[in-house]
Amino acid sequence: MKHLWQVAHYEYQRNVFKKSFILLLISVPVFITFSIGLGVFLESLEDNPLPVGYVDHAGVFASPLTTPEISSTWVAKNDESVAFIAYSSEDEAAAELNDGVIQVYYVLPADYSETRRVEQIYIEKPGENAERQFYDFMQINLLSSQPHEIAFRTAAGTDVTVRSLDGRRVIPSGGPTFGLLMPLFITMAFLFMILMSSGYTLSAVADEKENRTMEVLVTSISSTHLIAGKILGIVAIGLTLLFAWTLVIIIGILFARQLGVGWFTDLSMDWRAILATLAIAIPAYALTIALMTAIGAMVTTTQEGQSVSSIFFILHLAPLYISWSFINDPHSPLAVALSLCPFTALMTIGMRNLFTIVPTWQILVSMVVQIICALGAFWLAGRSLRLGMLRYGQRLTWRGLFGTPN
Amino acid sequence: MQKTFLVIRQELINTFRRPSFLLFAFGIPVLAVLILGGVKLIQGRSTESSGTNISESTEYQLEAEGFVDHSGLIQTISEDLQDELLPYETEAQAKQALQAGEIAAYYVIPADYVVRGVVEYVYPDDKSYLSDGQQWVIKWTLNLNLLDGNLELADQIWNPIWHLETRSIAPEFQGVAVSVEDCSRPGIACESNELIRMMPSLLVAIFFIAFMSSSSMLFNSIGAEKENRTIELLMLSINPRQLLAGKTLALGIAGMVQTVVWLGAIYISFNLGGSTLSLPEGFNFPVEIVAWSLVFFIGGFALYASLMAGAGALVPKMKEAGIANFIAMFPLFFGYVFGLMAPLADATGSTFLVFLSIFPLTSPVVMIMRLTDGLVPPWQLLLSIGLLFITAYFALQTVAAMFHAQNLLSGQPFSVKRYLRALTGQA
Repeated sequence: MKHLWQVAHYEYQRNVFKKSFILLLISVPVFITFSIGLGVFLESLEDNPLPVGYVDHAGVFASPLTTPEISSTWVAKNDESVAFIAYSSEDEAAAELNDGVIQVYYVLPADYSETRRVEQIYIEKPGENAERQFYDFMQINLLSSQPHEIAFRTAAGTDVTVRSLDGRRVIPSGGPTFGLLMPLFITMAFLFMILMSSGYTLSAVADEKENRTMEVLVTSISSTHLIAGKILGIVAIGLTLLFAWTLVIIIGILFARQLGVGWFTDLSMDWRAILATLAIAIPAYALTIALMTAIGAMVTTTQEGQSVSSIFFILHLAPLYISWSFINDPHSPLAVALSLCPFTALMTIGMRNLFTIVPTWQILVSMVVQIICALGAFWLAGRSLRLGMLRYGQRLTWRGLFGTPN
Repeated sequence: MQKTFLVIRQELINTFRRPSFLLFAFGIPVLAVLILGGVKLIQGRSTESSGTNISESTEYQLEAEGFVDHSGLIQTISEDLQDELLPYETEAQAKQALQAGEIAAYYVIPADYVVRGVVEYVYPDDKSYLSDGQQWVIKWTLNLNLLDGNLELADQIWNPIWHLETRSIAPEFQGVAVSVEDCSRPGIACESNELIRMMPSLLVAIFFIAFMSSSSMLFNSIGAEKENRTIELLMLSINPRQLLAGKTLALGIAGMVQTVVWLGAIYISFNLGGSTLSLPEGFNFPVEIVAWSLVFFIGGFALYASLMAGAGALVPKMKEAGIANFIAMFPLFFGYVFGLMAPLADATGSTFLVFLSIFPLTSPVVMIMRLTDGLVPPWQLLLSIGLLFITAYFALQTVAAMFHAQNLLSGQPFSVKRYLRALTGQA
């Protein structure tokens, strides 16, 4: 048993205290920050703060009106508020547009009430905020004869909150909250861990075969202890990554809440969905790394192992490409089948948890399937190491693995 | 020269014999065109035999839904929706009707609806919560009742603009107003068709994959020969520069063939796809995009293949390939991210994207996006090509200088510092 811990400790130490590991550790927060920054940057390109002009031949804006309430809905949507300027003629509006005073102008012809035809004239495509706010501006002015409260409600519209029949799941009109997306985040974190661990797992055995250390090792430790120690060490590496990234993400969320980012105000979680995802993710992770270790022991070089192991990763990601079918019908036979299969179950259940409540029996069956497969994979890993550890330049075949060793 | 041809021949044989290359370069595009052709043929036959239009046969059917109104607002339901929106006194009754299958879902309108504007939409568990369902039915009914059943005003508020005529008076149109919605070619100017809008992003993704795969082939080819020590034998009979020239030309030809096949498949699919891909009549995928794309592929390949070959020359083991690949391809990845996202954010013409389309390290993908999106001023196109080919020439010269026995036979580990020093001619 002491040897097992020694192997685990050595495996952890030799991978974690390296420059490349530190780079990997900071790569995810940097990538997330870059993605958010890119999103904010591209979003900012969509809005334009310049005023919007209009030429009203139809008399809709006889006494132009914007209410503070309707302006507050623009602020709530993170829209940059624009001012509206009236022009008596198109020439006047066009001149101001050419001078860069306004970003766009609209012309309401005299027959607007019958045709509801509006012209939009610009030099460069106006900001999306301008288009949305002109639409609201028109509505609030068409409603000028209505009581204030009714006019506002009609123009601001209705927010529809979706609720499940048993009341366990509530999705606000703005889309899923951070808490509701948590199962999907956990799924992505485990997939990332599988991707990161795969390199360590493959090289764990292949490296020692390549540099002939294996010959010395097998004289002092059993193959079962060796493989178990290596897997323990790799799981610890994965957990270190997960812990560090979770810490950074929590700090990021607290910071975003301080800044008043609306999406992080409601952090209530659906714990059933989170536990269901974890119940699948942990055995799925164990299954994949055990299989990777088995492959690492069977092949002659790390590179060869990498090409075989990429198949597992493709299988894990496969449900992502048919996610549209889960949105349409999250309980379809295909969705249920993929939820029960090893490899595809993690992503499928992670996504289905977002669209629906996955029945408990499916989670339990899937978890049992994953655990049985993981145990089988551990047995396979031990056997492949025993049979393949002293084979050099010769691949251990599947027939050799399952047949009688000679 | 003869030795260079031998290297070209050998690399071409190796590449074209590799099943993964054949599948990626020919299998996938040919299969995509065949599937599209098959679907088109079946659709054509079924339309002929039934004599009906496909879109007519898949007309959307409304489901019956219920509502529980605690606000007392709803007094009027449009005539055409009276069978689809059924009132219930209490939520328990609505729930019972839902469980009995009489309604597909129900809404709960709270007493403070006018103030808060929030309505609950209760779904059975077998439906996706992210699907919008037919929420517009309740929204329209509330809109109508807020205005005391005034159908005409409610309709005007619901849809204040029937026809929005967009025109541009940009200087390139000589101040004459030009209608902006354009679905006759790919680009974000076509607001009514998502596939046409997203074609620039699609081309960016395909070119990025093409650059990555063809440049990686060169990297792997050099790296593998270093790792298995074949390079030591090769160095005895061939000059390192001849080796680099042979490999670059051969894998450039392979990459070019792959790109031509992919572009051909796209050209055929988009021009013949028609109704199968829901493309409007009059849509045409311009052949100029294909022609200019090939020019950018040649320049981009020459540049990135050189950078990858340089990294390959310094990597002693293929295990260290990851970081070397990342460093060499990072600028292209940067361009790819912005090129891919810009059409989604309607920002294809922003100054930053124009800069990236001229900057030689990002232009091979970003300019493809801009070319697919619309007309690029000739000076920008020529400047971008000029800078790309000049940079590619210097990169080739620099990497050729790195291709000497000292680097190729060295077991020194790869480091970013060493790579950058070698590229700047300091090592």
